[in-house]
Amino acid sequence: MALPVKNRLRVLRAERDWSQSDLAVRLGVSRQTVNAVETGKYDPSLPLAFRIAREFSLRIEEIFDPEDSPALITNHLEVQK
Amino acid sequence: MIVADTSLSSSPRASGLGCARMQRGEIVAVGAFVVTCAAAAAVRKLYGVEALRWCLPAVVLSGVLYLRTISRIVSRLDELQQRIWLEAVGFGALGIFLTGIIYPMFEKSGVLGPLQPLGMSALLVVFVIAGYLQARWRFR
Repeated sequence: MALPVKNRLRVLRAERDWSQSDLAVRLGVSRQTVNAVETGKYDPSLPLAFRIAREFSLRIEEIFDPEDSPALITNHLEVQK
Repeated sequence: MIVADTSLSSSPRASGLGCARMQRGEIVAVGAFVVTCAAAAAVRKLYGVEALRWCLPAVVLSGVLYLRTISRIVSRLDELQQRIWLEAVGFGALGIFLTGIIYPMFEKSGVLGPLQPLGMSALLVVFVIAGYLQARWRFR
C-alpha cells in the first residue's frame, strides 16, 4: 500500500529564498528531481530525504508528512505487524 | 527522535547536477565505437564479408568500452533520472518484444517485408525515446 506523502519543500525553499536550481545544486540532483518531489509526483529515496532534511536543518517528518495521517500510519503499522 | 545534524550541511557543489555530463574519456569511448562500427561497415562493403573477421575484435572491444561508459554515465545520474531511463529501457524492451510477436503476422500476410537488423535497431531506439519522453512528461 503506497502512502501518499505531502511535503513542505516549496515553503521551506521560499523561506530561504532558494530557487529550485539552488536547492538542486545543494542536494546534488537535477532541478527536475526537486520539482517532481515538490509537486508530489516523485517520492524521494530515504538517503535523499535525509539530505533534504539536513539541508534545511530539520527532521524528515517536519518536511514530509503522509497525508491523512496519524490514523493511516497506525493502521499501516498494525497491518505490518 | 533523530535530529538532523546541521554541522553536516553540504555546501553548494560545483558539479552537483543530476544530469551527468560526459567526461573526455567517455566521449572518446563513444566516438571510438561509432568510428569502429562505421569502419567495419565500410570494410564489409569494400572488401566483402570475409574481411570483416579482421575488424571484429576492434568492434567487440569498442562495444565493451561503450557499454562500460554508458553504465558509468547512468550510475552518475540522480535517482529520478535513473528511474526515467529505467522506464525508458523497459518500454523499449517491451516494445521490441511485442514487435517480435506482432510483426510476423504482418509479414505472413504480405503487408510488410522481412524486418532487417537495422530496422529492429531503429525500432528499439524509437521505443526507448518514446518511453523516455513519456516518463519525463510524467515527472515534469
